[in-house]
Amino acid sequence: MRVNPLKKSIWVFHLNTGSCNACDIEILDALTPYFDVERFGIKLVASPRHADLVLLTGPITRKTLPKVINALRAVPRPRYILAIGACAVGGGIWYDTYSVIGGVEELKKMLEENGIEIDKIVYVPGCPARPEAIIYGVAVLLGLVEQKVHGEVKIAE
Amino acid sequence: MWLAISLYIVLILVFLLIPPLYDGIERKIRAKLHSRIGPPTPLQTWYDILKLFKKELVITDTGLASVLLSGLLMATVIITAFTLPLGFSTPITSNGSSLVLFTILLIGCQLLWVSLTLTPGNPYATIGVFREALIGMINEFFLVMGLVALMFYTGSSSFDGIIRARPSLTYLLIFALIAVSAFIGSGRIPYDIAEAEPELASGVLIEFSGPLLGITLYSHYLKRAILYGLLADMIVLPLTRIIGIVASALIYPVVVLAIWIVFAVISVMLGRTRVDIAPRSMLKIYIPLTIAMLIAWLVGV
Ligand code: SF4
Repeated sequence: MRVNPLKKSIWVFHLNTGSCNACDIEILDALTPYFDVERFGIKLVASPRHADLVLLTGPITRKTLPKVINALRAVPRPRYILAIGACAVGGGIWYDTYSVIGGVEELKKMLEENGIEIDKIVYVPGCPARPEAIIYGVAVLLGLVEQKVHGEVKIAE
Repeated sequence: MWLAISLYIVLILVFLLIPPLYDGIERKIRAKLHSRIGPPTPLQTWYDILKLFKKELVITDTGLASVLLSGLLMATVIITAFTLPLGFSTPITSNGSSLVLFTILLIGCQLLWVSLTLTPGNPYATIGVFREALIGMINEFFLVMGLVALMFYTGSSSFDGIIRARPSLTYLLIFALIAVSAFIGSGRIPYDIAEAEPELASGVLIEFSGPLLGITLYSHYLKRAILYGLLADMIVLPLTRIIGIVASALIYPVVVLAIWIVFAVISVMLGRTRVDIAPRSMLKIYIPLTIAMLIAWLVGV
């Protein structure tokens, strides 16, 4: 099996798509010396062109949508998204409102229409998501820890 | 002769591979000073660069110029490394005007760096380039002055002149002048203004991605190693008269690492300054240092 080159070094870019800023504060918290994410080879970069992973917060408002698409197009592949917070995961409290597109799933469809491929998306729910959860999300993305929740629903007989 | 050549081949290979490792060690030490753990291994910077080489290349409309210039920059920095004595005099560096060639190549690297960072045509990056070029111009002037002073002091335009240099106050002041310009020239805080503006999107490197960024970062670290290697040569070369070339070749990488770490610790302790303060603070250091050097020279101490 080929070793994922990103496993040892992953550069993240913070992208706010209209969140209430609480998730963003948690991201900043995760990047402080207290949590010391450099331990996992994670580094914050200021340009999407340098990034491997986009830390996406917010429900993606219609106003930010063109900019979000541009920023994601600038990320060289393999490009990953970490959808942070209930808003980014599925719209959260803004679900179905007129001014947002409602989370990363909708965004993914639009990106595909624009020919932008996302290699993997990991969801970190919470309102706001805790810093530990954000770091855990990156670890799941890199395959450092096993994913506990799976897509299929099992119903007991 | 054969001993010198084989030693040189081993050392130049080490010298070309070691700068990202030294940066990794610096990151570990910086993390210790911040009471953090830091990167998992000192090889982290190498992992970062290797990862960048595996990423896709996304370029702007003028990206072709960036690609060509980055190749040229890397080639020039590597050639500059070849013209540097690695703790002992090599056939290239014992040439009559090796120090002049080295100085010209070093200035060439800085010029190429500025031209490379201008190529993407991004207005934010261009603002960063102007700031970096301003600091670079002032710094380069004093670096060249230090090197010319070294040539006059040793009475030779070759690195071999340094071997014969006697320790004196003038030599120490020339060393200090070159050390300050190496500190500033290697883009250390507070003189990393162009990169220190995340709000202006990562300064000059904003548009570079994947392998292009990898090449640029590697060239940056190698240039840093060359500047510190020059300082290490000023310490180690006079010692070759006493300890011989094998011992001086062995201690050379250690001295480079020591200088690297001292500069890293100094830059951790300094804060970032405003863009207009940086050139003024440079002149406040350089002018007294230059005057002291001239007086020491005239007095003959
Ligand atoms: S998930 Fe909650 S905390 Fe995060 S941006 Fe949305 S509303 Fe704010």
